Order: sequence, then C-alpha cells, then structure tokens
Amino acid sequence: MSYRIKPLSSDTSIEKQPMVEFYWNNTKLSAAQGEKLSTALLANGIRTVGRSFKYGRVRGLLGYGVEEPNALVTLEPDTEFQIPNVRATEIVIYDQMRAVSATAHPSISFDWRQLFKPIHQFMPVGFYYKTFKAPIKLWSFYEKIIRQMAGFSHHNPALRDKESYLTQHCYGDVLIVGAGISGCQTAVELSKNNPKLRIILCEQSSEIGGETLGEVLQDSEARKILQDLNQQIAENANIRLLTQTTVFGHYDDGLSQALQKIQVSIPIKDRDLQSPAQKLLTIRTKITVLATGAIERPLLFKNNDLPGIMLASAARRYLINDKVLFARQPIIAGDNNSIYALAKDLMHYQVKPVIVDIRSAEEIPEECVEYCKNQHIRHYAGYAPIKAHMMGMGHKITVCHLEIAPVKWHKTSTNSIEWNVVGDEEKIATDGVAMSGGFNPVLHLSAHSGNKPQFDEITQSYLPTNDVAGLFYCGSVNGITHWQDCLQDSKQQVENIVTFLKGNKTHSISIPALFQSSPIFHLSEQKNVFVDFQTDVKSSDIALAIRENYRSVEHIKRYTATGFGTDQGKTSNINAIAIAAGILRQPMKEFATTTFRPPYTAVTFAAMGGGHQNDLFDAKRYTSMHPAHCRHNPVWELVGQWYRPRYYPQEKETMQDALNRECLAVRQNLAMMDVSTLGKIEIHGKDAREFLSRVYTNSWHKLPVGQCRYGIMCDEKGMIMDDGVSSCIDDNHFYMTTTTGGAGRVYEWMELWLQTEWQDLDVVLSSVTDQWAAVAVVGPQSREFMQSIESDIDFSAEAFPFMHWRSGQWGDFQVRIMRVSFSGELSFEINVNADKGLELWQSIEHYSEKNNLKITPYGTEAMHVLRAEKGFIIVGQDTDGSNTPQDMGMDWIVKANEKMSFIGERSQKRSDMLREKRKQLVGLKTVDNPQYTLIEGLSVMRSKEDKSSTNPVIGHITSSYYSPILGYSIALAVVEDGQKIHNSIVNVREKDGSMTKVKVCPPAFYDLNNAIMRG
Amino acid sequence: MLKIHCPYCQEDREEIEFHCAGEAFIARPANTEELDDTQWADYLFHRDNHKGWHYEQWVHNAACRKYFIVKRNTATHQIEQSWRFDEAPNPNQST
Repeated sequence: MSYRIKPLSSDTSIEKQPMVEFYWNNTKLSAAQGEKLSTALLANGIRTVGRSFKYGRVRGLLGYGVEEPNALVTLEPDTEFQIPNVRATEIVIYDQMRAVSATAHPSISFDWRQLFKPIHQFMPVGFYYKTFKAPIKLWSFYEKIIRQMAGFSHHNPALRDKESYLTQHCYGDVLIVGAGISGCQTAVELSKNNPKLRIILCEQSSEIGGETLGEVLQDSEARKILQDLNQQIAENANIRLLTQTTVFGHYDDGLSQALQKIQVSIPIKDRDLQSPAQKLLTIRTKITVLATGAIERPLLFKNNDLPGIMLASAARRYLINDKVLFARQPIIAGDNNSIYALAKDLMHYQVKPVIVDIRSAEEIPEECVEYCKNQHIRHYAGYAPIKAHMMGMGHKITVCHLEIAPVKWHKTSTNSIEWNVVGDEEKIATDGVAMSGGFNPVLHLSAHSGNKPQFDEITQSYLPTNDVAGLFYCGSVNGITHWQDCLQDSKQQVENIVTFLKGNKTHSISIPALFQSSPIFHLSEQKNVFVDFQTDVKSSDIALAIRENYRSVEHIKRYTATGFGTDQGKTSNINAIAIAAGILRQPMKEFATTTFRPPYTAVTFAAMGGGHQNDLFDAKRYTSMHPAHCRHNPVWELVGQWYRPRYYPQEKETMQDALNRECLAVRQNLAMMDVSTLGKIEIHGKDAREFLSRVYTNSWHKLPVGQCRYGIMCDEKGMIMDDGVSSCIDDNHFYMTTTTGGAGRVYEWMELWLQTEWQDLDVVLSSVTDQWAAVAVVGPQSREFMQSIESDIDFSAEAFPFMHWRSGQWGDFQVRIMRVSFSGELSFEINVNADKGLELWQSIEHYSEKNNLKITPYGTEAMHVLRAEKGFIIVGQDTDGSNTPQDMGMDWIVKANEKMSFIGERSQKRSDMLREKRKQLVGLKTVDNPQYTLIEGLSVMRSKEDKSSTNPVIGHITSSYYSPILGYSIALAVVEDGQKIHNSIVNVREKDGSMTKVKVCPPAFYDLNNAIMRG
Repeated sequence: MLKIHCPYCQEDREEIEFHCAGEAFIARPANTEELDDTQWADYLFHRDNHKGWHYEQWVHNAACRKYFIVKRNTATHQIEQSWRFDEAPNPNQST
C-alpha cells in the first residue's frame, strides 16, 4: 500500500518528479527522483528500517534530518562507492541506488540479538563490564564475539574509494550556519545594510527554508517570503549559498569547518570521478551566526521506540514537503502547540488524528481546544501516552495501540519535577504516533567554542549564553518558534552584528516570543522507556547508574553510553538529563549543563585528507643526487622528510650481505656517501665565536681559520639536544652542521636566544641546508683518489690534517672539502653548490672508473654500523633527552673555567646530575656467541648479587649491529654507573624472557687511538 | 585554531604558521653559578600555569622567523594583542 497522497489542486510547493528505481535490502522499490531515502521507505510502507544496537529491537524512522538515530544504512555496499553508517534521512535518492540497513544482523526480519530476549532484563547498563571481566584469560575469546555484535555498517576495506575529495580554505566576513528563515533573512538584511560584506550561508539540506517549509501549506505569506528570500539570495553575488553543506565544528577566532557533499545525488554511472564528491571547507570569518534551529524531543513512555512512532515535526515535513503520510489513523501526542499545526495539515488532506495533549485543559490555548471541537477531533487534555503496542511481521512491524492515561506533575520539596498517573488508562487503536516532547535548540557549534548553555524553565530547553565575541544566535536556536518571530529576531541580530562590526559592545539577546512547554514528562517506575534510541539506553539504565552511585551527568552519560552514538545524542541528551535530575530530585537548571564536541555530524576521513593522499600525503625531500641513487635501486630510509638510501643491494644480496660489503669497502678500500641532508647554518657577525661558545659545550674562541671542530649542544636542562661539526671560515664567519632531523629545531632554538636573551650579540643566522650538496669520500684509498684528480688543494697528511677544511678547484668543481669523519675512516667531505650535486656524484663514479679505483656507494645503515664501531653517538638514538655529555662519557667536550657559561652548564651541576647511578654509555659484547646480534631496545638486567635496588632493570640497548670488520657483534647501551663496571658480565633480557650474557666494555671497538681516522 | 597577529609582518595569520615558545618575560638569571639548586629549578621548571590572561612567546617560523609577545587568555583562547619585544609592556616590572 502506498502512503503517497495525491497533491490537492491548491498545492504548489512541489513539482512532480520522475520516478526512479532503487534497491532497499536487495528489494527493488520506486521513488521520486530527488527525494530522501527515508521518504521513499515511508512511501513504500516500510516501517522497520533497522534493529537496535543492544537488544535487536525493531526500529523505524524517528526524524527527518540529522537527528535520526535509527535509520542507519550502508550505501552501495561492497563497491568502490560504499559509505558506511549514513542516515536514510540524509540520502538523496538517485537511479539504481543500493542501500542496506546497517543495523540488522543478518537481516531486518530476523536479528539474532533478539534470541537473547528472555535474558534482556538481565542485561542492564554495565552488563558487559560486569560479566566479562573475569576470568581475565577468557577475554580474548569474549572479545571476538562481542566485537562481532558491536558496530553498525560492515565495510569492505579491500575496496579502494574511487571518488575524489578536496580540502579548501574559505575566507569571508560573515558565516551563517543554517538557511532556515532566520539564516536567510539575516543574510539578506546584513547585505542590505552593508553590500560589501562577503557572506557565506551554509545549509545542510538541499534547499533553503528549514522548518518554515512545513508552514507553506497553511500560510501563503510564509510561502511568499521564502520565495522572495530565495530570489534575493540567488541574485546577490556577495551571498554565497552552499547547500548540502554541514558546518560540523566551530573553533577559536571565527574558524569553522564544513563538509560539502557535491555529487551525492547523481547516479553512480554519471559521476565525474575526477572532480570532488565531497569537500571539506575550512572557513574563517569575523562573524559567525548560528541559525541552527531546534530539534524535537521524543516523548518518554513504554515502547516509545516502536516503528510508526516518530517526531511530530518529522511527520509534518514528510507530509508537507514530500507528500507522504506517516499513518492513516494517526495519534498526535505532545506537550506544546506544535502538535496542533500537524493536526491542521492532516485535516487538510482529510486525515483525522487523535490528539493527546499532556498539558492540562487550562494550559492549552483556547483556540486549539476550539479547533478540535469544531473539527470533531478526539482531544485528550492532561493525558500522556503510557505504553505502545505492536503488531505485524518482518519489516511491516508497526505500532497498533497506544495506551494513554491522565497525568499530573508537581514540584517536590527540592524543586524537582515529579509526574504521576491520576486516572484510568485508555487504549486507542492507531497505525502511527507523532510525538513532540518540546524542542532542543541546536547548540552544538556554540558548545564547541566553549559556551555553556543554560536551562530555561519556560521553554524547557537549554538556551545559548554568549561569551565569545563575534558569535551570534538567531531564530529558533534562541527558543523562538513562530516564523514571524524569527524574522523579528533576525532584524534584532543584524543590528547587533552591525554594532559589533563598528567596534561597539552589543547587548544581550532579545527574545520576542517564547515557546512554552510543560516540564519533560517521565514516569520513573516504567520499564522499556527508551532515552537514547541509537545506543539502546532506557530510563531504567539511568536509574541504575544513579543507584550505583554515579552522580555527575558526565559520568552517567559515559556509564550508560547515552549520547555516545553516531547521532551524538541529538534527541536523547536533554531527556537523559531530565530523567537523572528527576531521580536525584534536583531542578534541571541546577543539575547540569550539556557539552557537545565536534564533529556535529560524521565526517569522512577521505574528505579530511582531501588531496593529501599517496604522493601528496607529506612533502618529500630529495637531495640533488637523488637520480644517481635511483640508478642503484637502493632501499630507502625516511629521515624526517628526506629520502636517504639505506643500503644499495646488489643482485640476490640480503640486507646483511649488502651491509657487510658496504662496511668493508669503507674500512678496506674506497666508498662514497651522499651527506647532503645534514642541516647547515651560516653564522655571521663579530660575536660568532662567543655565540658558538654559548650554544656548544666547548670553547670556540681560539679555533683557527681553516679548521673544524665537533660540538655538542645541550638544552637549558643540561641534556644533549644536537651535535655536529662547525668550521671557522673566517673570524666573523662560521659554518655549522646539525643532525639531519634536528636542523629546523636547532635553528629556531638558536634564534630564540639571539632574539631574547642575547640581543646584544652581533650574530646573524641563515639556513643553507638546501644550498649545499655534499659527498663523503671515505676509505684507506680516499687520499689517493682525491689526489688522482687535478686540483689546487694539497691532500697530503701534512698539508691537510684531520679536522681542517680547504677550498679550491677539484676536477671540474669549485669545492669546500672538510676532513671530518663520522665513519672513523680516512675521509674527505666534498661540498659543492647544490646545483652541482648530481654532477659531482656522477663525476666521482666516473673518475673512479677512469683511475681503476672501484668506489662503493654506501647508505645510512652502513653509516650506523661504522659509527657504532667507533662509539660515535647518534643524538636521538643513543640519547633520549635525559643524557648529559658526561653520561655519554664525553667530559672532554665540556669546557671548564670559562668566563661565560654555556647553555646547560648550570644544570649539569644540579645534584641529580652528579648523583651515583646515572645511566652511562657503554659498549656490550655477547659472551657465548660473539656473532649473535642483540635486539635494540632490550633491557639490561642487574646481576643477582647486586641488591642495591629492587628494580631489576639497569639500562637498555640503544644500538646493536654485526660488525663485519671485527667479525663479531657490537652494541651500545646506557647502563647505571656503566663507566664503573667495564669488563663485568651482565644479562640482557630477550623478548621471550630468557637471558643473554654480555660483557660491558668502553663504548668504542675499532681504531681505539684514532690513528686511522687522523691518518 | 588561533588567528595571530605578527607584529613584524603586520598581518593576521593562521596559527599553523607559528610555534608557541612558552611563557614570556622569564629572564635567565645572570649569576647562574651563584644560584642554589632550588633557585635554579625555579627558573628552569616552575611556571605559574595560571588561568586567564597570560603573556607568551610565539615565533613566526613559517615566515619572518621573529619571536614576539602575545597576550592570550588561557581559558577562552582570546588574544588581546601582540607586540615586538621592544614594544611589549612587561607586567613583572609594572607591578
């Protein structure tokens, strides 16, 4: 049976749309093109659209928009266009659309959770916590089953999303959220007042008008005003209207974010996959106006979750805008005037409802009572719905009877509200109930920026309080209901905004007409009264949470999961607060306020990522020699954003094979490495030496021109933060290198000192990391190789000693060469203009072939092995921000008795730095099997004899490798008092708990007197 | 995300261009060697962390790389003003 009504000749609001086909749970149905999925389901007589989260109860449509908690669907399941957990009320139908219910397992007609029905009464809130916590060993078994039961849509992760997404920044003067009558009027009035203002108007649905669209049937004036607004907005170039765009977050200083759906209503085969399906907009404006409207509350009675029971405002929108009836024998129940508007609309289509008004006869406006009498509508005043009954099978299950009873409320001694049944129950047959328990202004965005709403007794709702400059509220978000009053409010707000833009203080919000409602109806003793439909929370669960001594509403919400569904409790939060306040016998105003966090509605990750996917996910930094490395097919290591060759495997080589070959080439022959990624900073000024002496721990006052020196930088706490070599170019000019990853941080930190504490120093820094490219030519044959190329530099040991630099011509290149070494081998670091980097690398390869000196490229992994053989630390690997140079055995680099101290010096004399048992750097060698390589990060254990502490762990391994030149494995570790226990045997605890014996030694293994390096 | 005025670039820019560099007006003691551990720890670690108006250092690291002072409310995130170091009022000196 179709629930579509034939439009009357007087209806003008909707044009006839062509019919299209779609699939609901694999059944072919028809719908009018452009209508919502929820409308189409209702029109096709489908009442049950999902199953509830915990009990598997049948559920129908409750709402018309984002507030819908029940009708969650998976759109286009098992295709590249799948979207999980979308509300049927937000999906616009297109031809051949496929949608399945997200919440029924295995199907709508049969959900296996309902098998547990006999024990549902034993499954209250906290059931899972209480039941499955013991025995702990069985948890992994329970977990699998519980996870199967939890969640909504099934999503196939193997299918890649085929659509495109985009992120975009927008700037403007005013953002208006919500294009209902208030939002539109504010936009138009503001623009009239100041035509230069750039206004962005966002609307979550596909057309403007909001709830006023429900008025157009009875009110030709409303219809005309909406038409006018529509036209004025369309003609105004400075008002940018974005429909299908939900503002989901509002943050500091007028920043908002919105999700714009673009191609959602186009049949899949017609979509343009290159242009975005969804856009994430980041909007910054001076003014934000929340014209977000209000969402209706459900009534609280037994079985209020049955299919066929929906919000009165939703029923009205389905009827007026979509021409679909929610029932043929409807009951309208509520506690405010809005239910009479629905009654009038139903009567317009010759459907006679029964009205149940919770307010007493005295509280109901005269004209409402009069209207019912004249139209012969059965009208119950002072009655509330108590219990609903259901009938039917499968997806046809629907409400069939509603029990009602006369009720009254009174204030308790503590000013809380208590409701009682005061007469006999009555049973009314029906096929659909529309309910209205009052309205909640949509204050989510307001709460995101830190505002706390206040409960208002008259409207029985939380109203905005404003602490944020530039944030304004307009329309029914202020507790206003009539569209005429909303227009009035818009005018007032426009004045406020104009005043604010002129820099003057605005005054408080004026509310022309208030919505009146009786206190939230709720009987405390009833069972199966659903508060949160999506997370299946009943009023009895809230009562139980309170019995278990939860008092704060924040705790009660978390324990019961009220408001924790994907709908964020849009229909449930306030009812839950009312119930809790009633049980705790506190007035709502004093009991609690409510908080919302972004996002207002779900945002797809793809939209957040936008274009930042795959190659564009993060910036990639390549050295100028990158193409040359690529020809060797290296394995890459990501260092910060730099791509560095980790090792260069040759045919069939394993990683260890390649490492051994590369390491031995360095130690025995000739090798080369791209060292362009090191951070490089130019330091100019007459105080450069003094500056370096303050940021490094050693002295730089006497370093001669032409020489280099290694330095360690400590932070003010005395801990090592970076290291590197700096060269004296001339007395007022130094060239500093930092670690690859530390460059930006070191630069910013040095600037901090120069710009704050040391403004008197004449020093200027500039980052030149990208200006230089460098190749280290390393190995016993490196001097011979350097000499084999025509150059004006004398490479002999006497003329060019270790830790010196020379500049000149070398082959075709203008170079600056440094004799520095991180490998501990004879080494020449050739620096050239970055433009020449690739050419340099290729020329070195070419020179080596010409001179029959085979040169092996080596990567970062071999570099790590080689430096560990020498005991050179890597900041950030062997140190972790808790190590001083003294801990690392580098006392020699810390200067003593200088006039000006260095950063960190005072801290290194704190009692904690001087105490016993600081962790110190040591070397480790495995005792039983010298070839066995330990795993980095493992704990070093105290010996059984050592009773000095109950903590069995005395340190951990920071670096561990197999050393091919030594023929055994080596490791570096930080160990308590390590410098004092050289040559002793300690244990390392393996992952499986077993112990490996290791011998502690000084942290250096190769060329202990540095003769080779200095050679 | 905050909107911060850089007193050097003379423009309002997005927070993403800046780094916060901690509370402002914490002078490094001149006589570090004469301080005992408690006094030194006070400079090194102890901050008021108060709720409300707060002077802090920010650096415009994605642009001019200059440090400057921002007066920000730690409770509401509202920024009242920003200054170059040589123009900023030092609340410690005025009280």
